[in-house]
Amino acid sequence: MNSLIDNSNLILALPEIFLALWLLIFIPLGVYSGGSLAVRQSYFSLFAVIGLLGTFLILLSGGYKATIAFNDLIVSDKLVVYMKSLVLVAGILIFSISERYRSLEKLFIFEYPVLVLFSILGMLIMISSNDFITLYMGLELQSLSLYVLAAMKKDSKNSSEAGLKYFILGAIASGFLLFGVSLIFGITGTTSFTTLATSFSNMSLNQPLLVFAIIMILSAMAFKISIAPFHMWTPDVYEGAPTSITAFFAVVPKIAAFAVLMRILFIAFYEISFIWQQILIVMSILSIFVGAFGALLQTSIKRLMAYSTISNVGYVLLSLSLATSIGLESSIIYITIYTVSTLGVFAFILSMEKEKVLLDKISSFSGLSKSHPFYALTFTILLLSLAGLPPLAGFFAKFYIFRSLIIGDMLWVAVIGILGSVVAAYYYLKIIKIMYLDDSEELLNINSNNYIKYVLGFCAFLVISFIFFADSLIEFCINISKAIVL
Amino acid sequence: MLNISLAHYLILSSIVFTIGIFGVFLNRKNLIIILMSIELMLLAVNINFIAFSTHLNLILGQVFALFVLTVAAAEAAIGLAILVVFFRSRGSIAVDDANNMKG
Repeated sequence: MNSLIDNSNLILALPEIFLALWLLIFIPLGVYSGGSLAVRQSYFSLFAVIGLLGTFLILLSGGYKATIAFNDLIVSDKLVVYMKSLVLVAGILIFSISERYRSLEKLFIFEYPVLVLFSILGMLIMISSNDFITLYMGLELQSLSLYVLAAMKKDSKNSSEAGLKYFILGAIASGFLLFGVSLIFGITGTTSFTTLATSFSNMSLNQPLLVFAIIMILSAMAFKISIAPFHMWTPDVYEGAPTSITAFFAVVPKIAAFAVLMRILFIAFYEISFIWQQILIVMSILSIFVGAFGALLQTSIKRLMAYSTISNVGYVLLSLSLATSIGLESSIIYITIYTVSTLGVFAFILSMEKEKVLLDKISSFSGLSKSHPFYALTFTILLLSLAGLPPLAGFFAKFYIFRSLIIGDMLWVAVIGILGSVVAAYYYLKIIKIMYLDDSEELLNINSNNYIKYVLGFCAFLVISFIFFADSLIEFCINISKAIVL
Repeated sequence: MLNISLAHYLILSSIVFTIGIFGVFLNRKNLIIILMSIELMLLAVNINFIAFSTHLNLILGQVFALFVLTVAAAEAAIGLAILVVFFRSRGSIAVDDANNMKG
């Protein structure tokens, strides 16, 4: 027991400890600092970004060594470090592109960066959890901050409604998770992932209660990553929340939730994969189609991106349902590419402002290719990548998913998945058609912001040039998944 | 005298949990009832944890129950805060008023 507070244990949790201490300095600083709102806002954002950068550097300096610490509560390995770096980098980029929007909407309150940092802290704890207690605490820290962030625009009816819907459904989801965990605890007498794995291999597994518990845990996780039967909140929350928060929702919590799901499925429940495989296949096919068909009739770009998210997470879950190392590796590749393209798309959405209001209707992008060729071109590249056109990154993401499905003898599932991506391509191409072929009554006038332009250009560049560094990324993802599943 | 066994506790907690779920989905009038139903769900889970904890003679379940209680308090605070914001923008806390965006 006296090894609990060991130096090596503390070093493992150093990124989280640093971020928590940074937040403790941040809150009094926000309360007691003077000056005008607009001046303070830029200082606070800088302070938040420095905190995230510091956390990232500490994380990288820790290295990849696979260890378990704090009485099995926390784990660190390649998957953890990689997913945490993705979360932190995406968090920093989204912070930098949301500056302009926040000054437009007068979201100057210092609680905004504090809550974003708190939710990122929750995600880091989630990703490194090796026990359902740690997972639950991290998940709640993340979701409680996100509920408030969704309702941040206090004068907007939609924003408070989005916060309310997200809160109610999120609370039900965590109730389901806890009920499932309590049953698992009753069956096995433990909540640690690694101990669960060994106790499942030593017991008889035909217990209906166990199946019930796993269904409950999976449905709670499916809610967090907006998989189909539990996706109802996604379009409303995406539409109602402030757009910079929508950008955050679409990228960062998904990475963290998938990292946790991978750990639950591939460490804790690996022995009983025959129970969860079927459930995951049905849910992911359903969400691929809900995402594809739901987006067809949308006129709002934010709602469209919500459905696009639903179908994209469907593909990731589909390859996780294989329960093989190849499936895990292709889902990690997919998450990486999805992060880059969605980040780029939201950088574009956040830069489309006209007379100090952000454009939301897809039809209002007509004629963009004439007035702002740079924006139109980069957005086209990102959309083509999401649609899965060959030389771009999105094609390789989908290619590896389908390849893993075919290797895993699930040919018919791969065919259904390809059909879904054909339907999805239609609405991505429709946006491109509006930008390039439709005439507009008046020219758009966009105040370009350099940060956003750099991020947008950077994402588009990564998507095009993926083919040149694909080898090293794929090699890296294979290494990560080999460390989890043999 | 009837002995109270583990099964009784589990049946009780399942009933409370189900009441919680139905309270969220069937109630069309008041958002505060939804908050109460969510609390019911979390407390049902606590009954489960503590029953298993005494049955298996493991302290872990009670530790988890304490964590759940703490988080439930925080969740109620945030839920009420969001409810206040909602009330200020709508002037009502009826569930049917949360329909600005079609779901």
